[in-house]
Amino acid sequence: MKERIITLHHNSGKKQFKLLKHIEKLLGSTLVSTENDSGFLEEVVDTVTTDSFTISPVFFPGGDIGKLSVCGSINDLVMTGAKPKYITLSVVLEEGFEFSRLDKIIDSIRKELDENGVKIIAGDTKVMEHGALDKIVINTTCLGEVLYEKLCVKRIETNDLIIITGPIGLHGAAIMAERKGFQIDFQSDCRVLTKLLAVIKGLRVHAMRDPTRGGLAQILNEFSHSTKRNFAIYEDKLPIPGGVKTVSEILGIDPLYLACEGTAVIICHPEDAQDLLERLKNAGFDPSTIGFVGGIIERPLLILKTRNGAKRVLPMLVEELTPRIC
Amino acid sequence: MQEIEVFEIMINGIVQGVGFRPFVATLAEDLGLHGYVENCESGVRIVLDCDETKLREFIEILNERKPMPAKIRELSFSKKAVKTNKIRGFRIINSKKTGKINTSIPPDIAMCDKCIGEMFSKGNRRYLYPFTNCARCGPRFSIAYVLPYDRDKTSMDDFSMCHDCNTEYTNLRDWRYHAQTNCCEDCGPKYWIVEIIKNEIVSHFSGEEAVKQAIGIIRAGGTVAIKGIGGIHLVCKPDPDAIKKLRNLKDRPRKPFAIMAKDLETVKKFAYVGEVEERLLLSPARPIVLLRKRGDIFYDVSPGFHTIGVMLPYTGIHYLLLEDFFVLVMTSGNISGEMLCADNFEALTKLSKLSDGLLLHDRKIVNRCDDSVIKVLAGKPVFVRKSRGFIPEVIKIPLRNRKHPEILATGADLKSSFGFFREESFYGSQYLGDLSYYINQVQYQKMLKRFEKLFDLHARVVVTDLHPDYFSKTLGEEYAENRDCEIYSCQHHVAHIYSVMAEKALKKCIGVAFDGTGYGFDGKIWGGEFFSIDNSKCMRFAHLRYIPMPSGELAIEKPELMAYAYLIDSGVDLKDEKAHLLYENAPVKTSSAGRLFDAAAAVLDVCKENTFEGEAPMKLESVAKRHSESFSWVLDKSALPWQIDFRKMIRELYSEKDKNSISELASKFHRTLAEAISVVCGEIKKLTGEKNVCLSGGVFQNKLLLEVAVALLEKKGFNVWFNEKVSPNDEGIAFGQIYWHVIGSDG
Ligand SMILES: [Fe+3]
Ligand SMILES: [Mg+2]
Ligand SMILES: [Zn+2]
Ligand SMILES: [Zn+2]
Repeated sequence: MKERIITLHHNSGKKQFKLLKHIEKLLGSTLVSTENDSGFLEEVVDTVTTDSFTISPVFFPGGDIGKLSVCGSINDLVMTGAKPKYITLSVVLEEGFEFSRLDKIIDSIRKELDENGVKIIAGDTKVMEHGALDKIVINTTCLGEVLYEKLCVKRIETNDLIIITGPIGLHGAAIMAERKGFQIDFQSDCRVLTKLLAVIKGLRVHAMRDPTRGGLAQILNEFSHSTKRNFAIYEDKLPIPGGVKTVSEILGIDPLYLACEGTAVIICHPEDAQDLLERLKNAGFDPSTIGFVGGIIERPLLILKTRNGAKRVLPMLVEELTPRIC
Repeated sequence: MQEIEVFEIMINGIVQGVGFRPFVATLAEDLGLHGYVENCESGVRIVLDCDETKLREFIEILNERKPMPAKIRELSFSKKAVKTNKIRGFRIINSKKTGKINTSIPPDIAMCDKCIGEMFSKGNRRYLYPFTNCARCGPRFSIAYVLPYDRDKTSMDDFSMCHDCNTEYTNLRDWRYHAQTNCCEDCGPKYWIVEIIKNEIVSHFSGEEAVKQAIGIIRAGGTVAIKGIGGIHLVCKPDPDAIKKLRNLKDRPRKPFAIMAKDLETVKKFAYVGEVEERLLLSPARPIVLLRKRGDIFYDVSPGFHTIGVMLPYTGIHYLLLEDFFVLVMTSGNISGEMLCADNFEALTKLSKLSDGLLLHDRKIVNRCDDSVIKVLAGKPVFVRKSRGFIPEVIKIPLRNRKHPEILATGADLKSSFGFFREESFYGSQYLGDLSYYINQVQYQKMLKRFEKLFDLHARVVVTDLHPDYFSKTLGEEYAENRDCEIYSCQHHVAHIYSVMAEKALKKCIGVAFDGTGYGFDGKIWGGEFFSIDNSKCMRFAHLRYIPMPSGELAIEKPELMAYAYLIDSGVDLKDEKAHLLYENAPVKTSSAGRLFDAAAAVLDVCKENTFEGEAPMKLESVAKRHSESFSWVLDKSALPWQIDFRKMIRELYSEKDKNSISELASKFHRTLAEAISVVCGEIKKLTGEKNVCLSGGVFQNKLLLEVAVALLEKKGFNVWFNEKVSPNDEGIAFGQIYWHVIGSDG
């Protein structure tokens, strides 16, 4: 394809066909079939998740929107204890978007899918007029097979431990830094978490979540809300990288509300926690126990135990990522 | 039975739980009057069979000699025909309970002289017994579960009176008649001491011995957690070593501690005590009074400040301790940020690491209250913290329309305090601390329920702050949803101004809110605001020029960041890459006067880090010596709201820093702000004709700023008002939220 940028023409007849073929070629063997209007599933799948992705900037340290849209959906599936098998891919482009950038994005989608043995079962492309969206929106729907039926928020019990598989806030901080043009020495943690499926096998893991939008504080608040239990985390046990701290400080943001895109929170029975930590380490993670699940209470909250022993409440924020100033 | 004409006197206010009826009976008998007195829901009712001259004499003496803690809000009398047998003598009739509660329990009352006398007289059966109290003194609010104030509805219910105590309690002529806290060594609460020795909890002394042991620990330079009336204090000698240790343990590097002095004479040795201050120190509420130090005494207690917080003893244990010391450091027993401990178990888990021993007692503190703090500004007492000794207090808001619905106002988050409104009356809670802390949230909700019970309140309307992430807002929303109430939110600084208007029943004014920070209508952080208010209409007329707030919330802790922002904004090249980076990436902008104080303090190297709220402004005030000069500044009236531009002042401050003395510059800074206030108010008056100015917000706790501003405004012919009934800081917000709401529908 010799054109430099995408135009509205790409929505019509021949051009649309050419654009699709172009993308298909780039996707290569990750694509199951293109002959029919719908794809056929050759393996058993019993669970599905869907998500749309938009991010500014489209390319960021540690990934791009392509990688993010694949990891995002795959991880959502993994968190429910399912093995991802198929994915659908829908790309909506703003007219004027460069082909060179599209190619890079499609390529990173292919790479990510290849590595994880996930096949594209259906796909679509649309172009919209300038200003109707911000550059590119990708929707992915991931299908898979449930391996661990018991993985569910409802199984969380009092005294369970809260384990995080890696550092906090890398993705959110990297994006912010990129937007502001800061020099940083870290990257987004954007990556798939399929490895966790093997790690948790046979252990009393009660729930898993990836703290994406709203960060660790948001998902623990959600856990606390739906389990009607207080969740407590310790300030001095939180793995917040120095770089994340610096960016957060400059921008007046609490890193606990920054997104992670390749880190999971695992709620585990206390007796199995040691095993889980060992296995996580062996699988290349850098896990830590950050807190525990409290008793059932009328008005459940997420509590941060500070270094001096005081308990602070970490609320669900209404105004995301603006400072709480009294 | 015959019909006779009598006088009926109705009194409301704080007339229950203060020995009012026995006082009335004695007075009537002294004057030879016949009749009776009874408690009723709205206060006290007295019936007298006498002529009008005698009646007037009775009322006059009653007003003059009423028991110290009693407060008469309203006294009315009328002639009434009653069917009765001939009234002979004077009787006290027992409480009747019907209808709605419209009276109040008194706040906690300092031990009276008579009780102190007994406690120190050998041979008295209450000799050295620290819980000695009578009908006129002792804890009240802090031990009450519900109204009416009767023993079985307080935590004294855990102790049943011995024969002797019961005789006093039931004898009409005894001054402990109906004293709900009546008790003695045999039947009442007791102290014991707990020490942590090699990680073992050891409790080896009780009663007098325990007190002796505590004194021993303090004398040896240790710290003892002592349970008192409203909560638990950490107590040590004002010696550098003891204080240093306490500061380390409490992680409180510079915040001044309060001290308790043996008596007024002692206070006068180290601080200047004016007439108003003296009255406050001795008042039954026994607040901490902020006094100007004589020279640089007690450096470790209040390092680098010209003032010191002082209180006099108010309960038995204090008097026993101060037999051995002239002054003691007394600070709230808490983990920094959290509210003070009041419960024994809580104290054992939290304070055993901060102290060398815990002197606890077995009477429950039902409603914990911090010590109140008061400062005298422009000759008037101003609350810095309103709590023990003042809560509960019912404040009348004079209104035209008497049919307003009951309202709950949830206040603000940093210095939280809620309030209810019913029929012209405001029922405000005590100071409840920073609501980002878990136990403070829990206590806030608990007190909300307690107030509903105590005063039989049922809000139909809820008013909250505007800040979307305030706990007090979320809670207000939940409350409104659960009870199907209407809900409104009031901008923070607007509420500050209405809190002054409510006190003075003003309907129009120019409002100046100089404050830390609050959420504005435009999503920016406000705090240096000028409003023109006409009933419920409020217009933002002017504000301090918006300045980037580097690192957002962190700038509150680090005045240096605000100094960067102000200096760069004023065109000063700091030649500091990091400062410029922080400035350019500041997440929010602010018009806060508190942050301007921070900036000035940091530019002058007076304070670069706030280890507690308001440290930098307090230090700046402490170093300032009164001068009459000021810096340049500009009022930009090109658009509404006008902007007050202090860039010139900041440049001058910065360039004069090495030429002039810090005390002179600090004073000029205060003076400039006061001038700006009076000039801007003058300009607003030209357009609106308004002559009343209300000043509120935490920054006006600054004596120098307030007094100069008041003087300049009065010179211009303004009537100047500031908060006297509630605090000018965020504790007063609930009061303002209520007035803001009711004035709209007050016709
Ligand atoms: Fe305020
Ligand atoms: Mg999703
Ligand atoms: Zn007494
Ligand atoms: Zn007794």
